[in-house]
Amino acid sequence: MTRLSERSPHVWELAPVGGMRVPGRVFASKPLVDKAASDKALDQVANVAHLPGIVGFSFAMPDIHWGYGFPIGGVCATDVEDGGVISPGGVGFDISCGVRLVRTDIEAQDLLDRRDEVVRHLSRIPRGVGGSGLMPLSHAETRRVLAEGAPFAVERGFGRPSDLEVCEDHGHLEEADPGVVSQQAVERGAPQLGSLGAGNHFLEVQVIDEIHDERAAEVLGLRRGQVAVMIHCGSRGVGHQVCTDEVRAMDRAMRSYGIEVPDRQLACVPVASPEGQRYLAGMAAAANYGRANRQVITHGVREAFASAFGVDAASLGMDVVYDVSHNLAKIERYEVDGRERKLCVHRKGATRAFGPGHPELPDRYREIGQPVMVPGSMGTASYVLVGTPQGRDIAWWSTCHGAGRTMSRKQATKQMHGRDLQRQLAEQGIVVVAQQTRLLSEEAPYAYKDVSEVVEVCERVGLSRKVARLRPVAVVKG
Amino acid sequence: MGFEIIEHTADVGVEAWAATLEELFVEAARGLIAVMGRGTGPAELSRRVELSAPDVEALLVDWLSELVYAFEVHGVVAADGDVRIRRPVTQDADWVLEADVTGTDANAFEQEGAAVKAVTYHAIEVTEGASGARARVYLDV
Repeated sequence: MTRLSERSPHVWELAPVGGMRVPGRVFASKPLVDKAASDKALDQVANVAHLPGIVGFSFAMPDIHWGYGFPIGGVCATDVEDGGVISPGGVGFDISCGVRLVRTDIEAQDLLDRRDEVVRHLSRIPRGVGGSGLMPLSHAETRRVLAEGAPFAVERGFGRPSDLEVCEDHGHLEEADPGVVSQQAVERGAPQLGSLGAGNHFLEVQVIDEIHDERAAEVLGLRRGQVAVMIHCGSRGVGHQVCTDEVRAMDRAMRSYGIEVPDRQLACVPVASPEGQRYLAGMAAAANYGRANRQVITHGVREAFASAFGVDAASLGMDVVYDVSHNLAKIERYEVDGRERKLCVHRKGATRAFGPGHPELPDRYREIGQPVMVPGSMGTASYVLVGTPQGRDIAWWSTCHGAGRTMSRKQATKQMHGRDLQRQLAEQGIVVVAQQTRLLSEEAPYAYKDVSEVVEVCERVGLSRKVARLRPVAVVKG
Repeated sequence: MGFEIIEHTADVGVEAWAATLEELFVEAARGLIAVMGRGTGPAELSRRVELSAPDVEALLVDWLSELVYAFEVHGVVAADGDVRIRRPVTQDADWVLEADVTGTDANAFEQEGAAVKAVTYHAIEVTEGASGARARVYLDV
């Protein structure tokens, strides 16, 4: 990849060639960029740069890896009023997949004393392939979730109204239209609300072991030695089906707009077109399901802790710190070249990270910037970050979303049996339960990049700042 | 005829080959199921599938997507199928697929791999030549 040059420390540029409308820009250390160059991720950065109406750069966060269409870790903004396109492939199949962090008033030692009980109760939260969630719904109720999002779950007693104050969009995207969501998507989603799913999704009990920013941590209610729970999951079959339906529709419609893309998974249409508006309404509906899903699971987590400790969940603290997506497209306004523009910002495996003072932040967080939760691989640390004032001008208020894979699942399972990995993690003080122990090594820490290096690069280039590091003590895998 | 599961950093792919396009679609379906595991019960369930698409690659994506849906919602684990494909006779016409799928019950499914969430168009290929038909498709897991 000789076209790649380091413009400033950790900022690499991919010169435009052929049909690329803008350069690529990759934020990475030398080892991370070498890893990105070892598969097709950088080609995908170049492919995204072909999209009509793209503004600035085709960006990649430090956790970039090979995806389909977009790279995972890809960020791209298109100008809505200048023929800019929207691509479902720039959001992905797991629409509004994201992370929620719940803090507790529990000290590390108290948790360790009851860890087996906590794990036993947490592992009752439905996970894995198919099956029923904590809140199975009728088709009519599913369509209400698609319209209403997390508030629907709170109304039914799954969580507290105050939870919604600290969710991105208050857990509800207004532009959602369940009417454009297919019956197949509704059928897939109806039984699944309140379930983790499989793959890289998980529930993790963590202990905060390092504070990097005392003031921000205080505002977020985080302190050293405190127990927190991280929830990573998405919109289940609803999102998968909405994306399937919409890629199919756009693949067919794209021709009539005279758009050609280098990879069919990048199928796209102008944001302003009827098909583009339809996708945004369907995507928002799936996102509402994703938000409701994390809300229902939060309730399940509180109940699990309450049962394990034999007290009321409210007396354990268990407040939501924040809930944020890392697979979504959003219409956002930015000043570009001295003029305000309406941009469609695709974040595929990347997290929005508004800086301090942003009007969309909850009042109590306005001073510190938007919280971002970055899950590591099980066995390694996770981080809480916040957005920076300069993040806006660097990559449309975006930062990383995780460690980023570096090894295929097959390669990962060849290196170690799941049972051996489970034993190894137990020796490190991490209890892991999985639906399929044999498959555990697909998600082994060695299959991922070093999350600390990823968040470090984000801080060095100014995308986000570190607030706290959390280390896992118990992991329930999807 | 046969299939092979191929690697991808985050996801997984299937390569399939067969003498005819119809057999190729059956092999690709077997590959899709094999990514996730295997059905252990008798192939007693049946399901009718009718699809149309502008080209053969899109038809393959639609076919496998339909089987993901059938697995998740109707509990049908595709094991075999009588697949009929009608090629377009004019330039604007669609490819048409009709199939009677036979499958096992998902309640008797032994999970051996990741769950397939969806089927992608990424680097998709379907080719037909003197030696038969081949396909490559990546799946989101």
